[in-house]
Amino acid sequence: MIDEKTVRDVARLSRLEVDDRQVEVLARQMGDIIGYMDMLSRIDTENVEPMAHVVPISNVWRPDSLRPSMPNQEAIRLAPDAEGEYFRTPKVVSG
Amino acid sequence: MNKWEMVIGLEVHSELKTRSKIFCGCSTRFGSSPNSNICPVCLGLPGVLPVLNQKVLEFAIKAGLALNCRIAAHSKFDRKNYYYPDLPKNYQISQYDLPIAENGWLDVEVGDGIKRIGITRIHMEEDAGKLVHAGSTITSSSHSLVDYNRTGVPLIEIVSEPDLRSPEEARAYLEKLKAILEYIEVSDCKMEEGSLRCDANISLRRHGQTKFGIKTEIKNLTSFRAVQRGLEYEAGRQQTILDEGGVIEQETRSWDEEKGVTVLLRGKEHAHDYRYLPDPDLVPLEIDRQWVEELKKQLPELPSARKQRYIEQMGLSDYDAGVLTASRATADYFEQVLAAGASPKGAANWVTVELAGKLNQSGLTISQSPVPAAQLAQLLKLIDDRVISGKIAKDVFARMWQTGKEPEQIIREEGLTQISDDDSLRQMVEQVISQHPQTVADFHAGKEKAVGFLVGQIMKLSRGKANPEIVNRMLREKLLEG
Repeated sequence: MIDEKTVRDVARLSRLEVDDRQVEVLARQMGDIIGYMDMLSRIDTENVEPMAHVVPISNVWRPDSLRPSMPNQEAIRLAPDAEGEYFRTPKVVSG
Repeated sequence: MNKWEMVIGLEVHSELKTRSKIFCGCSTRFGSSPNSNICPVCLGLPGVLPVLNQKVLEFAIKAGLALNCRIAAHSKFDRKNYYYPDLPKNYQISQYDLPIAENGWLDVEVGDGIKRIGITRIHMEEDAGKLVHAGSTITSSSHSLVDYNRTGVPLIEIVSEPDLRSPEEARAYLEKLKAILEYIEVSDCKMEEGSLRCDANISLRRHGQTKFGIKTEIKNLTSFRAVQRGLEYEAGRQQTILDEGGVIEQETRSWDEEKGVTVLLRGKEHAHDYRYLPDPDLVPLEIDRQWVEELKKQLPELPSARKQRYIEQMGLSDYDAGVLTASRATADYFEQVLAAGASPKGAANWVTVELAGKLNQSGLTISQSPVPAAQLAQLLKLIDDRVISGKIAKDVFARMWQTGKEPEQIIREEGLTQISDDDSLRQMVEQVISQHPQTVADFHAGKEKAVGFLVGQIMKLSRGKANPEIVNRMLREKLLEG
């Protein structure tokens, strides 16, 4: 079950705004989704190796060589706010 | 501290010196103009696919081997989620439950011996960008400017066990770790450029107690000195609280170098919940044992082994061997001086005293030394051959440093050759004896010190160029004759 506190915590972590009315609805809906996923826990996985990826491939890598970067202004142009060669964000204090 | 024992663990981030970033082909070069080494992959634009740089994996494995870790057979990358503008994707690609290396150790020399410090794990991850705060301080600025050049530069994070018991031990551990990473050539380890960074966890507990106390984490320790001072301050702060019967809050604090204090960065209630999840863009890693064995064979002689060799085979003191092997560049320079024909003791002395002094004064590293190893070896040979005295050699060395000229040329041009010629020396000996009858009388009265004074006078007369051994012998002969 998902309680309202969990909904608020998850919303905060995702930087989403939710009002009180939505919290109630979301708690129920998220509970349903998690409950549905819980069906998976009924499956017997006793002899199944854990996996981290659905595609059975591994060790994909590239040599340590340079490729051209984007021109600065092309990247800057994509940003909602910029100053000179920099991207610009609202004031941030703590990491 | 008496009543309390410090428990310290370090988390060290080290940038790997690859040419390109960990998941894209952008350059890792430090000091480029802002936002010039960026591309859709490291900016986290939608639809891009990161691909691992094989060199990063190789360097991480080498670091794991050099730190006596077990290298994972299966490893993978995970997303670490948090919001901060230096991270364009809102997650950092890192490693969570299957790091590339675990369970290692590092022997650190502390006061009275060697202490083994456990390495919990080493994992690979991408570095974040840099915030440039407009306005005078971080709190007064109205907005931040972001440079993403550093985003995606490869890092390894090396986490120690809470085995360190004092700020000095923490510093010694960090210095040793830096030396090893430099030796195996996976990182430049420049703390001033941020390519080696350190966070520290510290708690106090009563001596004899086995349970850990509540810890705080200190960030922004940007030099060896800062690591030591920051830990000293934080230990004192915690002690004051505990002595007054208070409780330590688990929190993250930031070291303020100027004020010499740690300040609250965030409390427990704002602790991050990173919600790690496997990165579906990157496929798992199956590490080939044979490759690991090959990399192991490629590892160079590490600082401890090199130090041991200097002591056992060259007869150097523990101290000199330690100073010489603390950085690979110094040890390599020293061995170049030896290769050019110098004796180990003479070379050790000149490298650790004269050369180190000059480098310190001018703020240069040994690889920037204006006096190359071969020239220092020439100078040492001139001393051994008694062309110049050790004292004159110091002046010659100073001139070599200034002018870049070879020692022979300087000696020739400035007429500094040691006087070993018997006739000229005999004249000086006779002159000094006749000028100091009282001292000569003192000598005959049994005052051994008189000889030293007379030798000094002769050296002065020759402006330091007389061969002191010959002067000594000649003077005694003359005094006993007379």
